Amino acid sequence: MPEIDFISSQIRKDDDRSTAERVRDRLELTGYLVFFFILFLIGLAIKDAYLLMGYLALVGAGAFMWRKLPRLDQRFRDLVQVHKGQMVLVMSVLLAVYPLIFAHDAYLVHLGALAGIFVIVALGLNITLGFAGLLDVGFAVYFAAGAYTSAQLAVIWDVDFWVGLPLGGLVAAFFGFLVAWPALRVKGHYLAMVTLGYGLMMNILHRNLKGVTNGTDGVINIPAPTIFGHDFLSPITVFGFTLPFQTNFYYLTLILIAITMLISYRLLNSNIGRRWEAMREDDVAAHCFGIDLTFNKVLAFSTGAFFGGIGGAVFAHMIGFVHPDNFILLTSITILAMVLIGGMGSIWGVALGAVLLIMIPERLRDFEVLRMLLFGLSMALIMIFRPQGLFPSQRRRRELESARVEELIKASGKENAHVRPVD
Amino acid sequence: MTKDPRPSPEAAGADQPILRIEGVSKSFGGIRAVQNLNLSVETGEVVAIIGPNGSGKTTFFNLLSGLYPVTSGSIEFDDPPSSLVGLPAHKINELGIARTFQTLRLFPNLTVAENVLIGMNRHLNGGFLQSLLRTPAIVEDEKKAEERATETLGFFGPRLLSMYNEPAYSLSYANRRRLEIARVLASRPKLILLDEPVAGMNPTETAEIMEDIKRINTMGFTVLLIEHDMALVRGVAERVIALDHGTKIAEGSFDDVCNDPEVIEAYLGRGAAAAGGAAPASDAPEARP
Repeated sequence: MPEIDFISSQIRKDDDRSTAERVRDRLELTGYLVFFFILFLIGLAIKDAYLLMGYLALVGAGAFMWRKLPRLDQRFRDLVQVHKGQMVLVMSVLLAVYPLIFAHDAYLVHLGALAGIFVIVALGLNITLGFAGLLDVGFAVYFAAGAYTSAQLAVIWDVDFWVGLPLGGLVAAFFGFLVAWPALRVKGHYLAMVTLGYGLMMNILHRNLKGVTNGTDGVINIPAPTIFGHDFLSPITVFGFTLPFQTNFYYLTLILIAITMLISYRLLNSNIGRRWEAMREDDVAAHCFGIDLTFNKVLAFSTGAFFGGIGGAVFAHMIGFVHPDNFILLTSITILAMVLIGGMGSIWGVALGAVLLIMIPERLRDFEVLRMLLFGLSMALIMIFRPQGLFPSQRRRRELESARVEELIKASGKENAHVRPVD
Repeated sequence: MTKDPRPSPEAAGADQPILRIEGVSKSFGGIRAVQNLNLSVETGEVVAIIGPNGSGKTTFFNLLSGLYPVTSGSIEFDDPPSSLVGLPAHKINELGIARTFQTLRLFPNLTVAENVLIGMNRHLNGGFLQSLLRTPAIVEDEKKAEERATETLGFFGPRLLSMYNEPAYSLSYANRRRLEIARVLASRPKLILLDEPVAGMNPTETAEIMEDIKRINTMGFTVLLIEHDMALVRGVAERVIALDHGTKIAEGSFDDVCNDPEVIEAYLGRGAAAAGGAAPASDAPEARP
């Protein structure tokens, strides 16, 4: 009988391990996360542009060294995989204290909220592209649909943000459905072309359908949300400690990210997610095993678009102004890059990708023309040295009871009691 | 061929063939890949389809599994009969037909377990909302499904079970072929279509797969297979159907079909039969392990 190693990773199922080991692992994971978070905070806190450049280069070099240590990398990913709860807990705490750290700097809190919006949008594309493998190069369409819907509802009909938000998502989902239907005749590069055309076409409509979008005048004076009488444009005061009003939006996006992540995670770990993944891997085989390709592809498009719309709605109410220039091809490509750089299909990875792709170009503003050049260069470097993305998705490991397996192996060669044709 | 008496009640109870095909044709433009094919498969049978390359065997499987639409003719499956003509592939799978592919079509980045779970897809329900809310019923279903997946993988002993959490791309070639079969078994279909299950395998592995197919049949599954390996066909098939240029040229026991002049001609060319040329059957002993 060959030696069977059911779980090739060094970390075994939680239950098999002693409490001491588990606590040590959790502390180790917390250590890693806090360390990365501090690196990130330092990057934000550096005001001098040249110093920041140097810092980025230093972190880049560090990341390169990290890559040279595959065991450390694997260890970190295993820890994240096994102690998901701890990961969520630590990240929640760290992200919740972010506005407290930068209470004196409203711009950084605003930047955090903006990054948060794009995390939601990128997680949406991650469902379409990362899970179902459908390349959508026109994702700004859904972002726009959510933004315009929620904005116009509020401006023209005085509809509350809390109603406009889900409606924005639903309208975006409908726009996803609209493109999915014709687009499903094609796949791969051809699908990318169709969605590219869709994105360009819709942007022309944003500029010219003056009755719906106000054309190039944009929608202005979009009211900020209120909750229990608290206006999102007024600062928060806790224990005599005042936080800038941007903190309201920051926490709103944080909560929406948590919901989006939970939904993504649950979908991925269900029949739905498995069907999507099967389609991504081989759609002919998936079709032959009872997966309705049309339905599941439309579902993936619409679900992804829904979150694009949610992000758009929050964006409209935070900025207070929506303009067709917000939804150009570059927006779509940036969202696509967030997913690719973070790691397709990886929920945490895509979130990281979105944060970096919003924060880095913003912080490099001092360089004017050089800004996009440096940004493009860093993207190219990431893709060369880490083509699977910064934090690639981990394969789920299913736990096996070894006793049961021994029994099955002994029984093999005889009849399997339950493997029979179904009447 | 020695074969265990089949205990399956389905075989005894069935009064009509599980698969009835009448006058099925398929044209691609001017090319007639399958012409006026008649065929029936009884419940519990193992039927092999042989024929030279390009004779329309795989096209026929693609018609049967719904990947290509039928040009004309009727395909009826099961009792009460349902027509398969015009149904998309996923509906056909739901009715209880599952197939393997000549060129492997696994889900390479999914684990061995997940590949099998996809095979089980037609037995798993759980819509969008239930998945989001993760209802207790869904959790229970998923647990049962994983147990069943383990059990199905156990069909091949430790070969696949030991790779449970590994991605399918990391399997050896023979194990990938086995996983294709395991995925079909997980679907627990009424009819299994095997498209060249031993293509590219060595004689030892071929002999093993032959035993596996016999076991599958003993478990009560009906099998229709395409195969070039005559040793395997002789070993497992109760009935052999020979195709050439998309038409059926012979049907019957292995020996009958192999001695059929038309079959010999199809394989070896005109005049070979008259000259007493070797039928495919006589190649078989050498190919045997």
